[in-house]
Amino acid sequence: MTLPFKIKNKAPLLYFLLILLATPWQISLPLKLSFWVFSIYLYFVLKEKAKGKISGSWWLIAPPLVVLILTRTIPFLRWPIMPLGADSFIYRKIFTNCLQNPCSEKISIISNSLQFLGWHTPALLSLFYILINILVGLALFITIRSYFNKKAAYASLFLFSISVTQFLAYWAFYWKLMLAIALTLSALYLLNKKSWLVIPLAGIIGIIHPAAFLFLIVTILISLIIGKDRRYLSLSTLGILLLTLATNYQETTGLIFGYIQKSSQKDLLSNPELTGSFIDFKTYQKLALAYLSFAALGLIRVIKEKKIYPLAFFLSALILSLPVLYFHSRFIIFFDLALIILAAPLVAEIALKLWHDLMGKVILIAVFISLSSLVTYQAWLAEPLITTTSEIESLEVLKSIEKEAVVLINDHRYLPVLKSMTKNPVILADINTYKPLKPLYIYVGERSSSNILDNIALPLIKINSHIWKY
Amino acid sequence: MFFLTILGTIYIFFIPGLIITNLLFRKLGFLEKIVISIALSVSVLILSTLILQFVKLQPNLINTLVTITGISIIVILIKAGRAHGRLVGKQNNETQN
Repeated sequence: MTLPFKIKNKAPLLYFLLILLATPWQISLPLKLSFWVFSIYLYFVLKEKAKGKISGSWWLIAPPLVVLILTRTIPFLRWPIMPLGADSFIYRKIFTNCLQNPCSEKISIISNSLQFLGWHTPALLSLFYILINILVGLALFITIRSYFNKKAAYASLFLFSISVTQFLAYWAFYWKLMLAIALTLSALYLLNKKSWLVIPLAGIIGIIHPAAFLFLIVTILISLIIGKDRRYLSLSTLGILLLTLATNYQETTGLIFGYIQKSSQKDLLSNPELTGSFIDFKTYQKLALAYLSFAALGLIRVIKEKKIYPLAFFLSALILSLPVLYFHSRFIIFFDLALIILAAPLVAEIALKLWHDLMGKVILIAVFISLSSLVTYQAWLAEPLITTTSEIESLEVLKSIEKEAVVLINDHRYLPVLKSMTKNPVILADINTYKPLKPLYIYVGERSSSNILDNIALPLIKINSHIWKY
Repeated sequence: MFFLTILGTIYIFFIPGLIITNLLFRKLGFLEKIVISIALSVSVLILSTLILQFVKLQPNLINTLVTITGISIIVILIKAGRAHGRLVGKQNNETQN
């Protein structure tokens, strides 16, 4: 990798520029100032690499793993009937329907196999989902270990377990994406090991989740451009593309052309793999504030040390998640992982520096406990979209309505829930301006504004506490 | 039933990948072996289902298990063949010396 300038001389300038770019401008001035002061402090503390042998005992994996398991289990213990985000309804429908009838959803290969083995749908939606998320954490651990060292891997698992963004992604119930992320991280591990096994694994990611595949292929292409191992990377890319085209020809071409067509219109809603409501980039900046400075310094470090794969991971996530380049909110999950990867070695280094004296140990333990408690408390507070069984029961009505009827909602959060409940078309519209031509069912969830039907001129019949018919 | 579910899950979601990992990687840490084995097992499962669909067979439990076992046996045979080749090569070297 050749750089147009000497990074060593420009490092402080580059770092402060990165900090300025990364600063969330919408936060209050005192918070902004604290972020800058902390970033400057961090630069001087971590200017020199920590000396001494880097090692780590295996027990260090336990605390972040416990936090991870705890935060991922709490929502299911608190809300056993209706856990997590709206997408859980979609997956419930896929898992049950695809077992009875042939379906095009490739994820059903996995869900059907598990159900043949005796797994019930609720267990697939809870226990198996928790296991997938733990697998993501472990895949991140081994990948970072192969990029840097064991201590950085522990730090990455810690950052992953306390990351609010990762918890929100988990909460949003991206079952398929979570599995694809675990496989993508494993593929990146294999890529770093220069193993040809990356080809079948990447091909499988292409089958399961095209968006994760897009991220992986962009990462490999960037590695190919900036890296030295061109023969291995170009042959791998060729192998992956051929395998993906062979196994998934129609969907791949559809996705590519669909993307080209839709991206110019800034409308990606027609592609189910590229949709979904997740946090926007500005919200993400605020959530990632705790490790933004570490990541900025980590970025300079990987450029300096010519670590191709972490840099390619970051650049790929940046290209795909930046609003000005190509924005899709689900790539923020990858961007967060990229920041964790960049920040982890620096977090490990500062922990190593603090661990030498008693006061440092106390500070480290206090930071770990407070951050872990914060995210655990967040997991405890998080409420699903539907919290009562009566609301689920009232939705059952929509399963047996007239064939020509249309279901209308005014709150986008209920869209996946309604789509999984009825075969009829579901539209998101303003009831005050909508002119119904067919039988119309209006659904007003408990989280929607309850007085939206007060000023409507249409004669409505109340079916139950949440559904009205026109 | 509970134990069958656990054993079946391990058989489909861990064993095929573990066999491949053992064939291709000599030195791999414990955690690395677990994660890569699961990832590769998922790949084997999906590939075997695609093979079943290609030959117009129903991807039910029996067919899936047979295909996965077939793939695992092929990998074991490759490993055995390579080990045998190494052994023969070593013996030849010893006789030459």
